[in-house]
Amino acid sequence: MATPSPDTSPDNVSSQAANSFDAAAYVQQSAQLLNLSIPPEQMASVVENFERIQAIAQPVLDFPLPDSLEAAPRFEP
Amino acid sequence: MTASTLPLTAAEIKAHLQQGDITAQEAVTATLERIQTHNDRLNCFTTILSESALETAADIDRRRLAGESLGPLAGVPFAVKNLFDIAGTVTLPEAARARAAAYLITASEGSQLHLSRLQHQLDEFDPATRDRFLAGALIPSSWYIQAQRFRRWYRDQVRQIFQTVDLILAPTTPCPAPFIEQTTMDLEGETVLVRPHLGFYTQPLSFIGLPVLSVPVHLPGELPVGVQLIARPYDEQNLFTAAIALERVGITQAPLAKTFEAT
Repeated sequence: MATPSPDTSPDNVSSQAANSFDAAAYVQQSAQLLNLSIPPEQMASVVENFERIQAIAQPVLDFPLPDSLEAAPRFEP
Repeated sequence: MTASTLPLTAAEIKAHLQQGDITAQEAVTATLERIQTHNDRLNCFTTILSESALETAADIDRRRLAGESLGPLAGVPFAVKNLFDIAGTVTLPEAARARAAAYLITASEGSQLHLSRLQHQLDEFDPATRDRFLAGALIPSSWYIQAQRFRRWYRDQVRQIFQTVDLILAPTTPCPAPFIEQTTMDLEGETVLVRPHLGFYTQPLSFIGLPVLSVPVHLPGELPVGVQLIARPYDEQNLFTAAIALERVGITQAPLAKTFEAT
């Protein structure tokens, strides 16, 4: 019997990465990198806030934009 | 009532509805007939919500018959520019995503502004603000840049709308002015916190730097609701002209509060 190949399509890899993301570990590590001392009693609330930002960010990150489109260096309306 | 006998202005339709000369269902039916007759040539409407318009009209007629107090424009058919989201309806161009991108940029830039204080004076922040700022400081730069790229794309989409219209009218807030102690409100059928959602309709516009002028519209027995006039970039003059016109005909008012009138 042939072994099914793992699904390595970009969509599947992306969703696996999202599922395995550990927000608490990310917050701890990146806060340390930025010299932010988050007291232990505040950590859960900061993680919750970050997870909320992540949920808001996802539709923006998923939106396909042309490769040639760059952020304006100086924003003009 | 048929399409050919439908009054031409919102004020005329409103007057006929209030006098009982016509029903909301008749007004909507006549409007739909007129759309069907002329839209092939004019191409004004991209989506026509006939069914929900007739259902809403039937409900308004029932409530008017029952003697309920209705809003001044209840039963007057209207169109909505497809820049804005409508519950249950797909609209363009990506207003919800624009709101998300605006949030990302604001959260990231706001946290960076306070980074030094977050590092050295954390105890001086209000707890709710502090934790939001801390989380915002950790936003990856690639998310921020994607939001800025989206902003440029979105700006170009909205610019196209202003090739065919001079002004857009939209609600400023999703609710009448909230009370100071009010913490929650109803938004599209959900109970949400007031403070983070007051900018629901303004974020996608301020995000791309459009000039906006918000005017108060008073409803009987309620606190005022804000209506925003939106213009193309650098067209503030049109905003003020329209706002003055609305004030002169009495649609918008900014009366002084009684406390100030007495002094």
